Amino acid sequence: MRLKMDIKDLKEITNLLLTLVSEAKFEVNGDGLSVKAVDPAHVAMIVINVSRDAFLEFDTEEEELGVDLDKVRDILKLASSGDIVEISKDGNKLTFLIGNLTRSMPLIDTSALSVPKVPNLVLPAKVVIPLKEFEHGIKAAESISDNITLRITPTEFEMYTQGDEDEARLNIPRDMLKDLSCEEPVKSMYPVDYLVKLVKAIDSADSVTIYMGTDYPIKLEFEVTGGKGKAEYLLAPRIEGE
Amino acid sequence: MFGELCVKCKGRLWCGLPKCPILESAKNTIPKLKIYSDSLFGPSPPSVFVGRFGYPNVYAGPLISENDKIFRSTSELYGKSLSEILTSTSSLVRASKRVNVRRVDKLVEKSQEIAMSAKSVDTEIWIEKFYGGASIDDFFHPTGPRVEPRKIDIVDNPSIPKRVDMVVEERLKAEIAIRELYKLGYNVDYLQRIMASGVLGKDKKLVPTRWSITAVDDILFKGLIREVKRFDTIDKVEYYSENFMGNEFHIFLIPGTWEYEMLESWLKGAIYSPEQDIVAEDYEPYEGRRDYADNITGAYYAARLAIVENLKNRRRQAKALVYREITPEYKLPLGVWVIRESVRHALLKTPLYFENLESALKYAEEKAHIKNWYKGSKILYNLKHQKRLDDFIPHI
Repeated sequence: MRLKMDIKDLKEITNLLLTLVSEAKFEVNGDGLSVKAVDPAHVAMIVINVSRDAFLEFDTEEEELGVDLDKVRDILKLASSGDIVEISKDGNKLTFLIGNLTRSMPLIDTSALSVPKVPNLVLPAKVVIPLKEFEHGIKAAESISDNITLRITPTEFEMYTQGDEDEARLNIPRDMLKDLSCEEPVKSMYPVDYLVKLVKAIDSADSVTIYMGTDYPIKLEFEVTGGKGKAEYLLAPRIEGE
Repeated sequence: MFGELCVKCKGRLWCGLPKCPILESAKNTIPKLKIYSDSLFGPSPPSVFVGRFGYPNVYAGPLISENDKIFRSTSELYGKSLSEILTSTSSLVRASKRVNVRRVDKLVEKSQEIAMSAKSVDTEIWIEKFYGGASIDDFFHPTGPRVEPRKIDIVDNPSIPKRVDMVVEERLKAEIAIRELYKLGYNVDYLQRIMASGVLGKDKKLVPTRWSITAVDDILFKGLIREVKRFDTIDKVEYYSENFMGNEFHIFLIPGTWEYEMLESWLKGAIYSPEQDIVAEDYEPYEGRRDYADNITGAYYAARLAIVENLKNRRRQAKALVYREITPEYKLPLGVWVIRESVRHALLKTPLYFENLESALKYAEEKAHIKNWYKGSKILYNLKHQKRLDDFIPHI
């Protein structure tokens, strides 16, 4: 196996996964690379699919790679932004080549890594929102409470959070959104720390598509690796009341 | 005094006064030791103390017992009465001089040899000045008066274990050295005092005792939790309790992935809280915390180590909720070893099992002084309100 890619793309994939796990199972085949991960508490999950077009070189059989992401993060620290990384597999070893630097690591036994079941959700409402706006809503909530509530109505998208005394609210009317489809208003509350980490790790997307229901998981879809890949992030809700 | 501030500060002088009025008045209850001769001969348990005021120029030096009632580690003090504990601790004379943390002079060198010794070390000090008084601290056990030594002689040969000598010579990273020695059976007190004495690591320097205690609790925890996170979770809620020196512990181990939370109630009349009941809380999620547990401080780390030791030995994972009630019976802070040892002892008992956390809390509430102490608990909130993705996968 030999893959060549921009360091920036590897960084984005690694950072997204690291928001939930420290080890992951990557699958590569003729179409590209895919990886699924669920956090230990089973509250959030990410599925990333990257097309072979995202790679500068893509020469591989079908493979499963168990990777220690903390080690990949260490490697990324050694690279600069314009670098190209070449990844090859030799027996049980994964080797990263960046410029003149070679760094190899043992692969993790993939049978020890659980691959999450992706729930099949029916989510009736959808908006497409600029990432910047979404980020604002989350950052405003972060200092106030552990929770954030998202709401989609036929006319607007709303993010709000209520502390003991403080409150923050972000409202975007329908005509300022790229897309909004919703028949009945929906509303769910989510743990804000997950979303804080997620928006920090998103790098190449400029908008996110949000699918929601009431007291139901949220599904966020966004582009990765400069549009040549796609990620899906699921987050379980918090239910209010006693 | 300053109400809630005192419980948070615990003698760190956040009020701006030159001395903590609470600790000063507590000190008066410690028997006062006087030394009339200009030299003192006695065993060091072994022990050293490194102060934190004036850092990086701090008071440092060995502790030498004025009587022969020495204890080798704080775990030996567990279960003793307050007067027995004070007899052992307040007779420890603190021989110290102000020294820069990076400078190794004769006094520091002797302190290091004493710190590394596995057995007590007979020591003789010639006293330049006797300061009297006593010292109490939330982290370290009480000690007796401070003296400024003119000269210190180690009469015995300190018995320094070979393995310890090796990690010092190899300049092994402090974290690695501490975890390795712990695996070989060295206890927390030993590791803490060699760290304080400045023999560990690449960049060797003295570490104030207070910091070294929490550092060792934290380093050992971080090593053990990595293993614990790979174990299967327990399957029922377990409740343990323990009571020592007016500290009442209620400990809940809860099925699920690792999370940790500690709550403390300082009952009206307990040290630091003369006027009102005060509840404090600190929490960390599965991934751990980045900042210092500022509400609970050292006790948070001491209890967390005791919990993870238990889980590691049973090869199980759980969420842990620790509730400590500090009653007016706890008049004198004795050090965080009280918390570490209490939690260790609690977990040696057979637990009571419950189907869910709420029923365990209801049961424990009957025995606690403060009702509804858990209403601010993040672990409880998450369990009640946070759904899992699995809840949305239809079961066949």
